[in-house]
Amino acid sequence: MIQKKTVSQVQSISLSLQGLVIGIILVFPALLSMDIGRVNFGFSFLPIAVIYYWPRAASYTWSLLCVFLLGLFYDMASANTLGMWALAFLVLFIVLDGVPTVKKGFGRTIAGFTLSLLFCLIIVLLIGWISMGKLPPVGTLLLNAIASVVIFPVIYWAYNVFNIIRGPSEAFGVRE
Amino acid sequence: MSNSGYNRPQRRRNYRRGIAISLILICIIMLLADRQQKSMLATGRLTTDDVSSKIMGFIATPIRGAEALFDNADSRRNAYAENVVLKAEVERLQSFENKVLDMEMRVKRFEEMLTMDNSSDLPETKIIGRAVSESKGPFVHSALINVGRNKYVQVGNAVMTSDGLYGHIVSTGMASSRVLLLNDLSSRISVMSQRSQGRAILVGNNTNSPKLAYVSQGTDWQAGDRVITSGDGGVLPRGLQIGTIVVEQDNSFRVDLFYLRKPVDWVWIYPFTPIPVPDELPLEVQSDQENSTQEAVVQKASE
Repeated sequence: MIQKKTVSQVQSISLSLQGLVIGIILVFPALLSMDIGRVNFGFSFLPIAVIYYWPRAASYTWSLLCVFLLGLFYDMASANTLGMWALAFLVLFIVLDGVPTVKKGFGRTIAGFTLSLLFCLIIVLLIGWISMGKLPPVGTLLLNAIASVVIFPVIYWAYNVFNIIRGPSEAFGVRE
Repeated sequence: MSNSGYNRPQRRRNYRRGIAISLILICIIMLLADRQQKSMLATGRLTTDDVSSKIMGFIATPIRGAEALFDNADSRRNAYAENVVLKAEVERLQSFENKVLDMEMRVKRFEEMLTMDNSSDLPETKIIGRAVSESKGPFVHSALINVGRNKYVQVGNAVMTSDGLYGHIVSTGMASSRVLLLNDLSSRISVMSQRSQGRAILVGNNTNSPKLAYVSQGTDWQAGDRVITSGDGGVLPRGLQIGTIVVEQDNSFRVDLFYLRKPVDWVWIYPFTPIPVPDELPLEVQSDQENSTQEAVVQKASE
């Protein structure tokens, strides 16, 4: 309740838009694809980190819209069928909204991110199945998921550095 | 007591739920509408591609460097073995050189005798570009290159790497183009065996080894055959090298693509104009063509 009083409507909308901007920035590394030997992998699931770290005090309605736009941008940038990532992100955002904010520390954060990623992977797999008419290659998806989890500590570190620079603020806390 | 009968938080929750459900429904509608043609929000896609190509060109540089590092390390490790193989290959090919030159001379003579159009199907001009991002995910295999309409790239143009055909252009922005790779699920290319000239369609399946479908009856396909574009349909030029045949246990064929041999960075585009269907040509052009053909016939007859 304190949170609602301390964050104005403009601030809460601004937080949603910040989430969108950071999400769009994360889309670009997610588009990268690497060929090491005969193995090809990418970081397709990286933008999930933004939804995982979405500001708690952000306006819910605006956040929904921003998450939708983020997914749509990702779909367009990766030349996927429109609506695939947008739907996956929206569902993940709605599901994560009810998650209690008790996770602290690297181990719990990465475990939470991995669970979110697995949830998103299942949604994407189902949507891809419907969209393509055949089951997408699960191995490739898993490889991308593992690569995204491996690179997640960089985001964790960047987020913590950002928090140290900004200073403690209950109102701008995130849904960890 | 307000006349609505329920308090503000409840109303706000309902409002949020309504928005969430509406957005999910919009996503589902877009998904169903776009899954075949991928033509929704075409302008948005092109703008996104233009923006992405600039940013990806910048952030892909260290990635390409890392890939090259692994590739170079691999090459150095196998340098001696490869050298031995290459020497044997050069010795083998030297005996063919004279035969090829002789055959080339004879073919040229025959073409002159038959007054054939001996120009190659492959255009002489090439547009050089850089593959700034490749999407080889489970759903789509495409690439973004940093040249577009500003360099006269057109939809349908073939895109090559130094090893072989990479794909074809499916959309062009002002300074970027989207390439549909050969192994994408929606890629269909008419191909032929360079040895037996048997025709088939190369069907992408989102893996590194696309399959051959509609293999023409009674044609001879063997493991190791080189696969090239057949030029059928007039969409792509004939003779672009694609890969080699691998025979599966169930006697179906798949193709090991040449372009997958090493990481792709620089590519070139053949500005090939597809052969137009005569019925689709404007009447004036058709009559002009007929007139010119008649004139040529008269000229030959008088000669």
